[in-house]
Amino acid sequence: MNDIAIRFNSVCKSYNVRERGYRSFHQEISDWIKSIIVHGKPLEQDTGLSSPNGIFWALKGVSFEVKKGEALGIIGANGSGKTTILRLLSKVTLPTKGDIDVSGKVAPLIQVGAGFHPELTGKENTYLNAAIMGLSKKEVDKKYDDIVSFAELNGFMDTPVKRYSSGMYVRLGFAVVANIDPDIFLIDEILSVGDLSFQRKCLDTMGKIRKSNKCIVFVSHNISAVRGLCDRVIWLNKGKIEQEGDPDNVINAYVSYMTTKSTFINDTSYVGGKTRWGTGEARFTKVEVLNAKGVRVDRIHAGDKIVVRLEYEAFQKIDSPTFWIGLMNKDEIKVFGTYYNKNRVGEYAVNGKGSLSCVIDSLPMRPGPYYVMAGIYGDIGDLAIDRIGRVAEFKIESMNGNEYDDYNGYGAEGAVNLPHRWNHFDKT
Amino acid sequence: MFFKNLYNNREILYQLTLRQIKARYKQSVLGIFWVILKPLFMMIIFTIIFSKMVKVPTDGIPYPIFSYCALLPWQFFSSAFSTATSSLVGSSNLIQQIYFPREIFPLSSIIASLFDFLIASTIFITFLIYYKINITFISFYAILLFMIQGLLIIGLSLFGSALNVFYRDVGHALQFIIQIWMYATPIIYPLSIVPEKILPVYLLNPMAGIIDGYRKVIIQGLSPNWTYIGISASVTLLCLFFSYKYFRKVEMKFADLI
Repeated sequence: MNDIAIRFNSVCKSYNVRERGYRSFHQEISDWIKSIIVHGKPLEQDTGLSSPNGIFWALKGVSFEVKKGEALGIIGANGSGKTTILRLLSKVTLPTKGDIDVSGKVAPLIQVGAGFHPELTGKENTYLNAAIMGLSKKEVDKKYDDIVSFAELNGFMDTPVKRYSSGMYVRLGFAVVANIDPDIFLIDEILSVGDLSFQRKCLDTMGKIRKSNKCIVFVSHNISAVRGLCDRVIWLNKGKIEQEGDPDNVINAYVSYMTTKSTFINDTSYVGGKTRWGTGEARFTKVEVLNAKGVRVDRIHAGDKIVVRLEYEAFQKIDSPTFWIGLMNKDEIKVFGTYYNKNRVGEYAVNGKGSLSCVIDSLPMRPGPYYVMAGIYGDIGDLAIDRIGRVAEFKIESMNGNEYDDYNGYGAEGAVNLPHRWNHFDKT
Repeated sequence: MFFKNLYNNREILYQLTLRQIKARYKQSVLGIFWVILKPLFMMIIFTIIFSKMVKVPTDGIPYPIFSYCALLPWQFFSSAFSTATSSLVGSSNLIQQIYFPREIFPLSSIIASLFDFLIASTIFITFLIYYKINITFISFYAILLFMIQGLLIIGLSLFGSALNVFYRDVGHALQFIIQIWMYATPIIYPLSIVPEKILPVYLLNPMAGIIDGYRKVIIQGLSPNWTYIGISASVTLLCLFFSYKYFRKVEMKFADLI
């Protein structure tokens, strides 16, 4: 009993869509006048619960428990109710039905900027942020040095935070939360902002937090982060728990569900693209294989240099997507795959048309047909934005005199032809 | 209940207030001088118009100090009321992410305005010396009046800030309301010229009795008119009571609506 940190008991949360967001007097007055004209008297105020119209149920009977020392991941598409759960946990809003038991101090990781004032220095903001989390000045005094060194912001604490990079913001925010010692940690998307080494540090810290009998609720689209951190995962779908349990099982089910729900599947619109799927925020417009001179080719020789050129169009701003290409041989074996993402070049974003190319200096492969596969993936997970199998094909032909092709008889096996040499020392 | 909540969250209140004060003074070049200059300029303009061009009776008080004595607390009233009213909407990010008693937002705005008021008051002391006005025991009634004014501001701000979450027009309407309110308060003219007939209605404006009281106790060295103060205090307490009830009632809707 006592090792339960959070208990949700068939929690429902509704929003009155009519009430959602603020209104202005003239809207109110014109509604009122309209209702008098139409009905002859003012309408009864719609209390919301009585009528199904105008009510949006963000959560429809959600029950779960989180034990102390456990890390729970919550995944789901936008609008599935993830944020509502966090808001209920941090007590900024109340459930419409059902009850919630939370034992211990809850600390939400406040979004970048919300708790900070741009004009104030890092130090002033640290005290402000810690106070919001319920710490007294004395307690912050004690932890101040730890916070600064954790955030790796030595020498920047007297700088106004408006001069900070987004990474520095997040580091400071996380450092404050990590050092205030809450019982329950609420973490939203946020970690995708920091650089890799800091993300690692945060994950390590969260690992330590878990061991000290605290619990973590991690809400994210970042499926690999959820997989790496959480003991248990809940997949929310339209306000209900679709599946709950072991991270791998739930995540796999979620990814395959999202893939079938992709806006296009088995779309053969792309010439040469046999299968295609993805969520569609961006699409490849052209994928081609070029030779060393930049000319489009469909026949090359083993060991030649090739360039795979990708053209895409993003229909909205996408932060740090991952571009991927793979080569497949006639036996449908992936012989090579490589990706381009922020780990190579740092944070970036795409919007509109663009292109990139991957230069492969040498292709030491067996003769035969090869296929190019290409994909764009979001920064935050395994869901394809656009993924095409067999988007281009080319043939590696044998050629006499080519070091790769001279000995392609029986026994020359395998998907690739590694550069090699034979030596025989006791030949008579 | 109200005060216990505040005491438990005094650190947040302190830090949020500090944030506003620091941010305000860091952003502007003239910084601290703005809060002094604003009522000072208004006083100068009022003096030119209402004592040189239009003769407004002042119960025998020199016009500059007559108007400054009213403008200073009025300035506090209007800036505290208007910044506090937008305080919840301005902190929507925080409200959606973390819970602490929501009245902290308007209160910290009020305290930040109080800080400005204290700075602007320093110049008032110079005036008192210049016009050779004696501070007597009676002058300390001003503290009582100031407390009533403070409670009035808290009441109005609780109501205004909560209503602003539901209706954004409140923000626009407020500037207008404050302007009219100023003319309905004896700031540029003395309370003594208000016709007897409308006086019962006029005094329902709690600021009327308070502003009149300041002049009496500080400048004229007279006791305040206790009937007027009694009306002001009663209206203030009623306003505080209902505003606080309303605030509590809608408080948990803020995060959903803001």
